[in-house]
Amino acid sequence: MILEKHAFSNPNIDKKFVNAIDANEFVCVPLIFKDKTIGVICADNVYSRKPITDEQVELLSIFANRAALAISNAEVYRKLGEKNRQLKETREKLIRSERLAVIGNMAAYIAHEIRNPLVTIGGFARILLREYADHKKVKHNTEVIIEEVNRLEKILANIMDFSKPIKTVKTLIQINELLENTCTLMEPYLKSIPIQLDKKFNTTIPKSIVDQTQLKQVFLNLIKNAAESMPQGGKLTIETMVEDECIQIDITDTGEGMSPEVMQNLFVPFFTTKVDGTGVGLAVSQKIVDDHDGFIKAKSVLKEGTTFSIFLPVKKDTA
Amino acid sequence: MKTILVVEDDKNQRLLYEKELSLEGYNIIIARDGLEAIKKVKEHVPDLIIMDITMPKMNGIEAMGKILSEHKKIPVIINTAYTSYKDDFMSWSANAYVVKSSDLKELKDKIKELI
Ligand SMILES: Nc1ncnc2c1ncn2[C@@H]1O[C@H](COP(=O)(O)OP(=O)(O)OP(=O)(O)O)[C@@H](O)[C@H]1O
Ligand SMILES: [Mg+2]
Repeated sequence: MILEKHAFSNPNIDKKFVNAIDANEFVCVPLIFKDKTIGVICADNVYSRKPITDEQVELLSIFANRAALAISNAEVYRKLGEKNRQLKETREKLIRSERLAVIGNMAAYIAHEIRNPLVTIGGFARILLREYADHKKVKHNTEVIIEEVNRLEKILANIMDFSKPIKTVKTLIQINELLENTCTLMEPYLKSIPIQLDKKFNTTIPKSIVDQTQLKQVFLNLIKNAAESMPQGGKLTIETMVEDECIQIDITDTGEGMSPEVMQNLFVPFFTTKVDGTGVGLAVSQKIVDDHDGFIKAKSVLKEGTTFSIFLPVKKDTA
Repeated sequence: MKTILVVEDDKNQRLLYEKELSLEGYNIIIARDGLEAIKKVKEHVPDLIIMDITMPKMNGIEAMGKILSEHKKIPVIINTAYTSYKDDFMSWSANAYVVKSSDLKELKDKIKELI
């Protein structure tokens, strides 16, 4: 505690400080919490112009003690809140991955059970087609059966892929390069719609440790979704940047956008609004990004377009 | 004429394979599960085995292990509706892994490749 009665003439006091408070008398009391000084309260008599009394100093000390406690509590609460949020996030991830595992097992079982008879149905339809190739009606009807069997087989393949246990192989790579590869793969498809591709890669983003195959799958899923939202053509922008310890990848389309109801169910396995969608693209993508300690966010305006953002943490020790 | 042993628990699928593969000029013998497969191999050693995985009594992987321990040279094609084991099949010493499809082209091609 410092009580100063002659600030203007005391050579030990910083002149700047005296000029700043512009008072001859002042008192400083520390804010102490658990033997640590977390701040200081200064009071002067600029307004009252009356001498500072011992009672006033006493009162200020009491106030300072209370204030120190309150400030520390607030800090503890903030930290608690932060920890709580982290806990909630981890729990949600856990629930998601467990739910995914259960659904995955069930889906794989059903797909297996359906695929077997389907092979027989389609196989015999093909035999019919071959044996009655010159019988117009039989030929036509059988072709319909085969077409539908093919469609079902594709759906089952998607479901099987979804439930496949993924083995993770992480290596140090530049995300821009991985995106570039993915774009090369997709370019012919995008051109055919036609969709204009705009790449805005930030070349300063650090390398990251990721599973290339899995992350490529995520990019493919998101680019495919973006393209599917622009059947009449449009513009697809892929942007990379570094943001608060995170690499951010934005995939933006000028497509049909999403309603709030769709937004709510995006990541639910098998949720789809498409005629031949399986609804696993985003569920799988989220699982993969979860496994990389990152997260996905979506922003969308109906009839205007959608942005999916992937955030991947930059790992300091490896960057 | 080359002989193929088809190990498959689904009756109608066996019919399909018998019909289609006989047309390709192979002699087809069948087994309904892993145990029967072992018995059939003892009776007439086939030139190739097409093996389902999930079957009653003894699954395809176990049966394959038992068969190959005596007849190392018989090529085996794993043929299952599951796609998920594809990455593992190498370690099972099978020669190929063909996911079941109503279009038997891939299977027929693999057979031609192996015998
Ligand atoms: N870029 C987008 N624009 C508009 N809607 C989107 C976009 N991305 C996803 N959606 C919506 O989210 C749903 C779920 O997407 P998801 O990728 O999981 O499945 P899908 O594309 O329908 O089928 P799959 O990817 O399995 O072939 C889509 O059906 C669509 O309604
Ligand atoms: Mg999709």
